[in-house]
Amino acid sequence: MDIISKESLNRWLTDLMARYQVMAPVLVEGDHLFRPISSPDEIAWDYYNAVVPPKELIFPLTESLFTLEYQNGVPQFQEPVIDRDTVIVGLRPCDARAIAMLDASFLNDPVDTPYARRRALVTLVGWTCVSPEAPCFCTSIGGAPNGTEGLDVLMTEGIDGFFVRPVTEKGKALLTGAELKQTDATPPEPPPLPVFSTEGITEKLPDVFLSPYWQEQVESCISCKICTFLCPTCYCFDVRDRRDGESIERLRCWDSCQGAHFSRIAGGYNPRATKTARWKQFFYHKYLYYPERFGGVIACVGCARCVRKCPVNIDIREVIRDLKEGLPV
Amino acid sequence: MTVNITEQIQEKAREILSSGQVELIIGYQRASDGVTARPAFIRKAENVAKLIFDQTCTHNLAKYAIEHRGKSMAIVAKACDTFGINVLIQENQIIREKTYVIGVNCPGVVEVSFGQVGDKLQYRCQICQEHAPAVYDYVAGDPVEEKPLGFDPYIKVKVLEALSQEERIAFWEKHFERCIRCYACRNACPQCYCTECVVEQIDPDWVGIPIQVPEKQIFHVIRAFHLAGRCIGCNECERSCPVGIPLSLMNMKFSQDVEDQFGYKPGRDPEVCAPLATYQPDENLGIGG
Repeated sequence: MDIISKESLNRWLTDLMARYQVMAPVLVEGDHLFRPISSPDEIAWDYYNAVVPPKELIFPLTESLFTLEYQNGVPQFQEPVIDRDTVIVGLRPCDARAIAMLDASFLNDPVDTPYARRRALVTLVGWTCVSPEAPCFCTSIGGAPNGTEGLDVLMTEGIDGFFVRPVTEKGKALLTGAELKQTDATPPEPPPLPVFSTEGITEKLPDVFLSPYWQEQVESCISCKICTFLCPTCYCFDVRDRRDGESIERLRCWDSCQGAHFSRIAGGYNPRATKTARWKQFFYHKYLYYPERFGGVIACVGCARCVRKCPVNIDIREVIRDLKEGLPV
Repeated sequence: MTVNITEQIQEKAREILSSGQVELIIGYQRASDGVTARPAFIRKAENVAKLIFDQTCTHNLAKYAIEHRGKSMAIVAKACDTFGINVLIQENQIIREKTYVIGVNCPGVVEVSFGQVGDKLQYRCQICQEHAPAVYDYVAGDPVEEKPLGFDPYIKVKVLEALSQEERIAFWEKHFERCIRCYACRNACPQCYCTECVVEQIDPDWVGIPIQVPEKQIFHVIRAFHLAGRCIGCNECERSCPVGIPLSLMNMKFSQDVEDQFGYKPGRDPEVCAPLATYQPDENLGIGG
């Protein structure tokens, strides 16, 4: 296996910055977030995970789809230019796996053009999780702290530097020029996480849709959007036009099934008028609807952001446990 | 001897549920991390053993009273939470007669996050000078001695006020840059109860959907204005914020202004409405003749 010293890694990153936009976890007012960096010194090497997942770099919170502007009475149509080669450094394997899940949704027919453009320009260099935190459950749901799905390169921190594992051809190409050294040593194994079974959850869900359990479980929900916005696999958006004088811009922005008006339709009817219906949508989308469409894969990577950040402690792991035990019908 | 607040709450809850006086107890239970607290909704006397109270009970449960309005319910409320209940009574959002308040003489709550209990009181509790509930049907816990603070409770606001306008704009833009418009601040707030928030209205589309600094600024400033003289300082907005925006600074600034100009603190007296939410025909607005 190859290994790169911290100094060489810094040199490689500095070199990349000349050709790519490099995004990495940085400390912003006490929280870790992915931001463009201009020096490796800005990287929060010892970070645990970013509060907002790196999906925001490929599927931005707000993006312009096009603008229409009248010039001398003639409407001019303009699409935004997406041409910046980007390297995302330091994302965790759970978040890379989540990007692979977003790919399934955005890159399948019909292809989502802005997503596809951004995605093609991005190379993902992940870091193995060396100290996953308490509520994490990637290993219970098909992932691993050193998983490679979705990544182009996986790096694992060791005593003498970072073990480097190219995963794709794109990753191999990115490493050209990096001062790699052959080593007989093997990367350290990540510490084990408590594992619970999620097997059979998808199959159980159709029968318990009307269970009184859901209302009881989410009675404390305040219908904020934290669980969905911080979820690396959530991808709902809203589209609206913004007019400014003679110019109109069509925007696409993150939206969330937890918002009270998300499902409201013309005429005012809201098929998901209660928070129970809305939270159930969040869970069912990940554990039933997505697997039904995309080869049985559960759209949850166990990053536990929803667990950690829910203001009222609605814990998806409890729901999985209760489902395994069987819900009242 | 100090009383056991948890036992007092459980006993009272059992009594009023068994007698049929209330159909629902909104209190606290242990969270899934085993160390912090989360809201609990108890409807049967045999479940009251779930209820707890300790210094991790940070949530302002008055929030839930609104969605259960009309039901006979009991709410476990710390001193500041009772101010929130009073505001809701003033504003006709809940019915006093149907709301049994299990007040708590509050020792203050500590900083909490998932799986973590801090050893420091939350800042709002460090500056708290009213530990006894303002409205209650029963009080749990021993009275907490009110000690002089020894420092200005608005010191953080004054530090910010001392900056130039440009510096203050830069301060807030820096923080709003990371806001994701998740509305956790608004939805955790017992005083934010509009059925349709102005920033989410579609027709007319006042603010729009962009998650960008101007829209975020408008949202936070509108919310602060709407809370002026109504915010009771529970600071659940700031605690709920996933990206740590210091919303308390904005709310404290407005509270200080209302206190200075009207000598008013919200929620202390259920009969007296917030100055900015009241109009009297004979009042001098300083306009016209």
